[in-house]
Parts: sequence; C-alpha cells; structure tokens
Amino acid sequence: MDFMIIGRPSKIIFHSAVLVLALSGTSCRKLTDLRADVERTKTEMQGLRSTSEALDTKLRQLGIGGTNASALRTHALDKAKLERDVAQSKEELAAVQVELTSLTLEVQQVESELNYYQSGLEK
Amino acid sequence: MNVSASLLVFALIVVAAFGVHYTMEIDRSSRELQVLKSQKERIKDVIEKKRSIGDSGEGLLAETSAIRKQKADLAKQLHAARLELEELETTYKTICAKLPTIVKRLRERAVGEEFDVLRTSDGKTFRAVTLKEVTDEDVSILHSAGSSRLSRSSLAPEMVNRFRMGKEFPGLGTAEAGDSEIPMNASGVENVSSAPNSESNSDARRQRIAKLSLQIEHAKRNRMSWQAEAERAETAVLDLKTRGRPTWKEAEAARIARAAVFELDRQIAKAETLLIELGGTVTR
Repeated sequence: MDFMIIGRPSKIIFHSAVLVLALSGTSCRKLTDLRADVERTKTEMQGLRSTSEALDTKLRQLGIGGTNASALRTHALDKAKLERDVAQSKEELAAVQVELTSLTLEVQQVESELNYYQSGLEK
Repeated sequence: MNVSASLLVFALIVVAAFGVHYTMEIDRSSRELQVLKSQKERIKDVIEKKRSIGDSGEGLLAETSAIRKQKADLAKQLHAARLELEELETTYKTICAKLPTIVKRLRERAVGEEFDVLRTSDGKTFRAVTLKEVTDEDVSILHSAGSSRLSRSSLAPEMVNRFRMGKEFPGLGTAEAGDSEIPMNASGVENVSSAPNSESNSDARRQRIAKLSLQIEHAKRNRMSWQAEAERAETAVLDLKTRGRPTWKEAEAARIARAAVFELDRQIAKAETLLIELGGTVTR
C-alpha cells in the first residue's frame, strides 16, 4: 500500500489529518462566533421590540393610530379647523374693535356737546 | 495496513464527520443570522417611522394646543369687546336722548331774554329786542319797531351755535324731535355677528377701513369746531375781562371746548392706530 511506509502513515495521511483538524478547528470557532452573533442579534431585537412597544404606547397616548400616512390626519384636520376658527375670531374682533372705536368717537363728540349745552342750561 | 494506520484513518473519518456537521451548522446559523438581521432592519425601520410620526404628532399637538389657547384668548377678548360695545351703545343712546331735551329747554329758557341791539348777518339792526321763540329754523323777536321772525341764515353764528340750530341730532333729526323715541340702532352700528358669512375678509376689511376713515374725518372736523369754539370763548373771556364784566360763563364754555378738543385728540389718535393696524392710511 502507498500510504504505508515501514508500518507508519504516509506524509499524505499526516498532512490530511493536520488539514482536517485545522479546518474542523476553524469551523468550530466560526460556528461559536455565529451562535454568539445570533444570540446578540436576538437580544438586540428584544430591545428594539421593547422600544417599538414603548413608541406604540406613546402614539396611543397622543391619539395617533397606526404609522401610515393618514395617522396624523385627524390632528392635522383639528389644527386646520382651529386655525380657521382663530382667523374668524380675529376678523370678528377686528370688526368689533372698529365699531367700538367708531362709537367711542361718536360718544365723545355727543358727550362734549351735551356738556356744553348742559352748562349753558345750568347758568 | 496496521492497527495504528487504521486508527488514524478512523480518527480522520470521525474528524471529517464533525467537520461536515460543523459546516452544516455554520450554514444553518448563517441563514438564521441573516433572517434575524433582516428582521432587525425591518423593526428599525418601523421604529424610525413611529419615532418620526410621534415627533410630528407631538409638534402638531403642541401647535394645536397653542392655537386652542389663542382661540380661547380671542374669545375672551371678543366677549369683553362686545360687552364694552353694548355698554357704549347704551351710553350713546342715553346721551342721544338727553341732548335734544337739553337743547329744547335751552331754547325755551332763552324766551324773554333781552338785548339792547341785535344785528343780523344781512345788515339789519333791531333795538330793544326780546326773544319770543327759538326753533331750529328761526328766531321770533319783539323789538322797538314791532316783531320779526329771523331765519337761521340771517342770525349771527354765535346765536346759531348757542341754540344748536340746524344741526341734526344723532339718530333723531332736529331738536323738535327731542321727545321722540330713539331708534334701536341710533348709532348706526351694524350687528357684527349677523354679517353675511359669504362676505370675503378683504371686502369686510376694506369696509371697516372706509367706515373708520370716515369716522375719523368726521371727528377731525368736529375737533376743529371745538377748537374754534375754545378760541372764541377764550377771546371773549379776555374781552370781558378788559371790560370788567363777569367771565365765568365764557370761561366755562372755553373749558368744555378745550376738554372736548383734548378728548377728541386722544380718541382720534387711538382710532388712527387701529386704522393703521387694519392696513388703512392716515391723512394728516
């Protein structure tokens, strides 16, 4: 037999053994690393899920349903309505202020006249 | 093949088997890791989205809350302004109701008043004049040559002003209408809340500016009249003083006229500030 030289394994067998051992060692180490990565990733995912749940709670508290484009629609509509209300109130206030100023001027003029003629009557 | 060689081969086979097993395990773990990483990325994306929506939502809610507060403040201001307007309208109506009565009594009280000489603007002179009747249009007198009815246009401006002749009362007309009831909207103030909704804001603003400008112009003209009256009364005071006659009557008239000028100045300045705020222009 080729691989038998004076009752000992040939160099090929010896080298093969060394190679197989080295490969097995490397594989073993790689596997250990991979499993550690898997575990670490699982832990990270656990943390991320907790963060996601905390955010869900926060969104519920804010009255926001879902994460799609229409999630903020209700709030945006509320805001738009309030803005319209504020603009209308401002207009109304401006109108009342004009009336108020206008009437104050008129009152002032009539009041002055009243004082003037009343003083004439009292003399 | 001897025993040691056989053992070595066997050991190689065992080690190779382990190698294959490890390789399969590595492959499985790699796939698992890949799946986990992809799930992690998806969760990260979702978290990012939620965070972004949460931030936007918080911002939106903060803005909404601020606007809500502004709305409440405006409602309070509006309520206060409307109350003030109502009070002012009542004051205005009360004054409007008093003025014709006072003028009427002033005219009635003047009946029997005597003048040595009365000169009209058209050059006529009447002596030993006694006032018989004062109306908004004319004055009836008894004089040395009989009786006459002098129209408002022929009277001296002082007399016209003294009896407030020919001037309309706000919402009432002339002094003869003094006893009539004041119309509810004597001030001509429109009901703000009943303004049509379809009216555009810019149109409403333009109307307000026009109304306020008109009111300011009117007040300025009025101020000029009061200024003239104050100057006239002050001159009369000086004249009476030099002649050694009592001045209190004219001094009181001057005081009232000066107070009117001062108060009108204040109100006109306030109205002009509002006019500028509304986007109007102030004419000097």
